[in-house]
Amino acid sequence: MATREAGKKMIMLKSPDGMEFEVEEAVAMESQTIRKMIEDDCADTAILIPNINSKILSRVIEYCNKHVPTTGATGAAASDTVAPAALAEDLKIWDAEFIKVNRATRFDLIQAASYLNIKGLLDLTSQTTIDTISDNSLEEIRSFLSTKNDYLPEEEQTIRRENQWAFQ
Amino acid sequence: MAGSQKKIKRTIAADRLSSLGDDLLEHILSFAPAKEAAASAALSRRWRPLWRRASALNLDSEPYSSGGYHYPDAGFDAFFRDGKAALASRRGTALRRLTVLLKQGAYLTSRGSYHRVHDVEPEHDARVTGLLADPAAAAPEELCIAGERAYTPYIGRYVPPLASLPCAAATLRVLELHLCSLQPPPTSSARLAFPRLTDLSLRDCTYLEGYLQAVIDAAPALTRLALVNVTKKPPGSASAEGSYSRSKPSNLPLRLRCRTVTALVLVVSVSLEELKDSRDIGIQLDMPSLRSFRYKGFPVNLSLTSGLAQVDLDTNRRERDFYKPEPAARMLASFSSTRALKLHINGIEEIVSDDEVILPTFPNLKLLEVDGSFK
Repeated sequence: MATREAGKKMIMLKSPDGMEFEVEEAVAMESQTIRKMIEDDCADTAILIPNINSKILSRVIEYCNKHVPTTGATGAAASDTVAPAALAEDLKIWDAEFIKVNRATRFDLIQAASYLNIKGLLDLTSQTTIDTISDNSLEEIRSFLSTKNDYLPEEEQTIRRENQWAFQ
Repeated sequence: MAGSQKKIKRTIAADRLSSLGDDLLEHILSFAPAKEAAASAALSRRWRPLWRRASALNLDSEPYSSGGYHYPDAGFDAFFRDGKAALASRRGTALRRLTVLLKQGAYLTSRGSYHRVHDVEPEHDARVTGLLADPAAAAPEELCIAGERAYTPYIGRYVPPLASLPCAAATLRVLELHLCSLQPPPTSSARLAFPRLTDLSLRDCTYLEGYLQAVIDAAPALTRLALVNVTKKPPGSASAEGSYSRSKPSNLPLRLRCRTVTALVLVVSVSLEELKDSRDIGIQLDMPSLRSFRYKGFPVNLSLTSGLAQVDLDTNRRERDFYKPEPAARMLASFSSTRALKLHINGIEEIVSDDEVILPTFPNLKLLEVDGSFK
């Protein structure tokens, strides 16, 4: 039995593929990009989110729903709230499940988090990317990134010498 | 072949990762351990400058451990060599956050002595202080130091040199400590000063009585404070034989004052024994500016000076079936001014059935969330 004050402000987010998501304003404002639109009064009741398809947008909303701090009825209290350390352990477990996605989805989430400016989600996707790359050799990472080694042999030697400690 | 198909799929996804802008790649690199971040310079010309522009540097001693329990562990020599080199490469760059994760073998010079006599604080390796004193470590806004869980609650924790951190006096805004011990260093009499510190977060830390208050007093701009399982270490010197080992670690009582803090997270664990032994397990907070309070733990005596706007109270504990602690209702009395209240409780009887407690009125309450089971 949960009692909630009625009349929370809702906002409609639209993906380019035509899906609409109705979310609480506080949840949408986890995105600094959307927050700015709302605060600058640039937002009608519906906001089109370009470049983020409905599948990714629904995951992003799921993330924001979980991470929105419990705020007072004003909503303005969000900035007062501590990075919710008390919940940090629970959230970490939730995050670990949430980010169990394939590379392509994780990449989409990085881009979405970057565009929408959602720090927590960007940090989570970045950390996961590092975790999957770590323990690979440079050659493997190059192939993983499809990055071509465009150094001249002597240049690469110089770089390895400059940061010798990192290649031992 | 299945293998090559997999490879093609990987390449398509990977190709896109390289299409990210430099700023995003720098952000991703800020999560890498220092050594891997630095090695990324050799990937390609594009990658060469990125790691030195990443906002964070992470020095993690764990991969250097040789895995045994022999101290000193020579494996950590390489940790200090690499840490010094990484910091040297970051001098003059915009390093916003520094993370140092210390295995015991990296900060204790020997373990033998404290293994036998539980009250002797083992000596710290001066090289850790050396890393933190590097010019590159003098300017970060955020510092995170984590130690390792020790065998005894009070002995063998990492003691960060809080009074002599170069960044503390100038730039430090956010300080996060995990599994550390807050106490004055034995040799230095430098004064604590955190003029710009706004966020202090302590997890699984111990503190020498009075020193936590001293740290808070030294931070005149502190607005957010998080104390998660923070344990008071009883006063007493190493010579007072058995004094540490006899007394049990305890999160409570807790008395703190801070004029500036607006948001407080408090996660407290109290043993059933303590609850039975003593009624003196209260919390006294003199925090007139406090607006947001999140508490997780047994209901305890709480005395609070503040005009709270939002409260998140979680007193939901299974163990309480065995013992009836302070009624949650009495805690609620401290929050009568709040505008938002979120409760996680075992059952409604926890707040209404106790005859001796009269629930306060909440004249300002606009949002109430209750989470629990109801009969």
